[in-house]
Amino acid sequence: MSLPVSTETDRQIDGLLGRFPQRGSALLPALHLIQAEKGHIPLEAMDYIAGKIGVSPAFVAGVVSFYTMFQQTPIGRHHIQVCCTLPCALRGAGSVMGYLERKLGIRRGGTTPDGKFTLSAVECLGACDTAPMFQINEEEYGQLDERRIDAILASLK
Amino acid sequence: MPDPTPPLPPAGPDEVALLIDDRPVVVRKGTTVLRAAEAAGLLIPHYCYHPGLSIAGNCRMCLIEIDKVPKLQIGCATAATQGMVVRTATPRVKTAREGIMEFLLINHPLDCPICDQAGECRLQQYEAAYGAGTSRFTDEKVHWPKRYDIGRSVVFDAERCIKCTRCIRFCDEISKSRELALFQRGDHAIIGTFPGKPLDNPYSGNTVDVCPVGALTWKPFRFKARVWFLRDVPSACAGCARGCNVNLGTYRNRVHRMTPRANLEVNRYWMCDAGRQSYAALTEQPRFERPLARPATDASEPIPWDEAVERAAALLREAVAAGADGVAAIVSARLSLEDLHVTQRALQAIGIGRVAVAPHEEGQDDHLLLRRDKTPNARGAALVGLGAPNAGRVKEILEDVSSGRVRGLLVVGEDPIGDGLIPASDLRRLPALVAIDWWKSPTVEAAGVALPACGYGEWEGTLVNFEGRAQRCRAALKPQGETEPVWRILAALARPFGFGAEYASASAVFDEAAAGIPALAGMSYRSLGTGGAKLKGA
Amino acid sequence: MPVKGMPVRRPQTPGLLSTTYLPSIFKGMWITLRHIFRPKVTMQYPEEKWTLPDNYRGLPVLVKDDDGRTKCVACFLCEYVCPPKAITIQAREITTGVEKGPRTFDINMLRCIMCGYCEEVCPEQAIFLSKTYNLVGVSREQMIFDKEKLLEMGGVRHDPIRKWGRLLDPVGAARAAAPASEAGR
Repeated sequence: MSLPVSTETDRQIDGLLGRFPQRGSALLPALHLIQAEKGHIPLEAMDYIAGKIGVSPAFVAGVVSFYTMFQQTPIGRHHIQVCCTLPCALRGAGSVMGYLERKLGIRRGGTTPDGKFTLSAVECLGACDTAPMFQINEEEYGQLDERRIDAILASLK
Repeated sequence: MPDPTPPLPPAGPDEVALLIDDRPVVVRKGTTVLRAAEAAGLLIPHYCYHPGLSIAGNCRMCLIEIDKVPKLQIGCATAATQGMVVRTATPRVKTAREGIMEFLLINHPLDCPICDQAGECRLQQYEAAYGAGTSRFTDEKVHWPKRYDIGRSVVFDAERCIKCTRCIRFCDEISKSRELALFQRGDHAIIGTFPGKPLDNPYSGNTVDVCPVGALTWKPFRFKARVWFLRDVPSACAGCARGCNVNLGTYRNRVHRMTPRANLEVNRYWMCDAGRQSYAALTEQPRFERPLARPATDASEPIPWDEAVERAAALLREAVAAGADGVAAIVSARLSLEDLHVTQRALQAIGIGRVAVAPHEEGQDDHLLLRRDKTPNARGAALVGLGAPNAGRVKEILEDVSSGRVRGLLVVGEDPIGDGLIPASDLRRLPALVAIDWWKSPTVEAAGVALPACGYGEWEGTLVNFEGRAQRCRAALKPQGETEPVWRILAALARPFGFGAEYASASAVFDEAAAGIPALAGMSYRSLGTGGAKLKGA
Repeated sequence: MPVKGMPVRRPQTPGLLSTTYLPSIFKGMWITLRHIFRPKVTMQYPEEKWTLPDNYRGLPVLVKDDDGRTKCVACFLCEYVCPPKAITIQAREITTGVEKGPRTFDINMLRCIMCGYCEEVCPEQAIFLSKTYNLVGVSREQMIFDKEKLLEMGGVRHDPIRKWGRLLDPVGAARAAAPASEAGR
């Protein structure tokens, strides 16, 4: 039977299981490992992790749907998360989002047809001092204006 | 000056005494306030709490005020302690309940006219009792999937769901099938299944029962009858040897649904899906309403009862006269104790010594309720002296029928042809075949004389489950056509053979059986009540 | 104990004039004579018909909404409330829009007392008392009106509130049919 994840991830998940007094506690880190490998968490992987940890697939799917940072469908290589909470909003997050939507030709929540970018609106990312800001995958970018956005996007492959 | 409070009653070592709305109560340590209030005769309204499930504490409807505790507490998850003073109807509690009701109903679709739960819906009941009665919400309600097929027999309406998670807890804790989970969060939360794994377990119907609102409904009962028309007749399920306590919901002389009736010693609060639908056989299988006789080669024709009993008695008399071991009887363990008791006595009077009780087994005993033994009254058959179900003896009799050694056969409530135990032609050749059954089975059609009996729901009687608990089945319907209870048919059939006993009712038969059988000593319909009673020594 | 009676005062013996009955006869003839010169009030039914008030309670009928949908959803409240038990309904599941509707809807007009409880209790505004009062038939069976007949008698009744509007428009219906795990994404 072929695993829905790589053998390396499978091995790492096995390592996780021993680290918690209750197996169920390993669910979140295991899901992060899967998302790190796949970019999202496919249904087969939910089924697989449920069997491994000993919870029901429905419970795993419920956990995945609870946290917005788990993706259930494939997304672009670069996930642009624009902070839209108050400080950023006051400093122009609305126009940043508008510019990105026009530039990429997608609405928030959408993915470009080439699969390069996914654009989403998120709540505070804790970088209010550099507002307006967004985060692309794990990387933060602050003090945005149109020139800087162009430069950032151009630097990404 | 504070009001003088009533003194606390004395409490034992594992007990606590408390006051709930000035009523003194003594309960075991660890009892929740909600249960203690129940003991005091007070209802604390609740949605998510169910006595058969774990405590979730998410609906917040059971908020109560406890003296010296600053905030309201949930009654379902707060343990009663010594000297606690609980108030369930203060202005604060009432305001809190009103608020909860308002929140629950903000996005409720109010489609009671097309909702099967209407009439037994907690939202309706509690809004009437504790709600503000009006809505202040004027915006468009949040919309969710309606009429979603969440499983084989259950329909889900997400707009009506209040996310109490009773169904999820049932599947996790009781059926252990764990199909359901809560998806999304906050106001987006919705009950769902894993794609490709629908709600499909042998106990899925209980999720419908525990659902306090109309979110989960039972497909076969969908739109069949409004619940306020239904008359719930307390009975016991005859689907297997467990004998789950049930209510037969009847309306216009028809059973429309079967729901479990709580009995902590038998089925707790649950029943299986097969049992839940077992009432349907009564309307789905072909009935015969008048006795049938098969003159020579013609097809069976209806004849009057008197004539039918006479002809059946004549057939059996001839067969018995030709030699007592040439006559046999096959009796069903699906009959009531009363039927079996009279059958046993009647067979003696007629002179039929060779009797076999037919077993019916299917599947395996499971972790919850389902039993492999599908006969609801095998213990009862053994009790009255007919013997326990025995496949070997049935087989021997039928082999002797095929070989011609047995010339007369009385079949009570069994269908050896339909069960594939003997070809129809062999039974048709039999000079004397008398069949008694509630439906027009192949055996009935092959019989020389067939006598129509009442079906489940029509007869009154007692079943003894596999644990030796005698439980009453009550008649919920008028018998169809001219059908009669089996005990009355057999008493009439044996009368020409000198059987003298007359019974006014099933209750009288039970009293006679109880007088003769030590395990039933002292029992009567009255003492069995709705919960049944264990046999002596069981 | 013996019951004691009360003395009853009998009227005086009638006078001579009263025993001839002449005063009463003239009095009666005077009334007749007066009416000869008054306008006639007899209505020549059926050539002439009564103008019924709007709140007249005649035979109950079922109505359809502006889109031609049978408004009744078979909630059974009218059957429940009907004092003479004239209404018999069987419900059925329908696959589009509102989930439920009547399979059969019979009103036994011989039993109906035109009390209007059905109209009052109806949560869907689907049953109304019409102005039909002439009920004719030659058998009891003919007096049991079925769904088709009741709908024909009721026709279309305009209702500005489209209670089930969302379920009846295609977009709302599609969303309502989405699987639970897909919804809300």
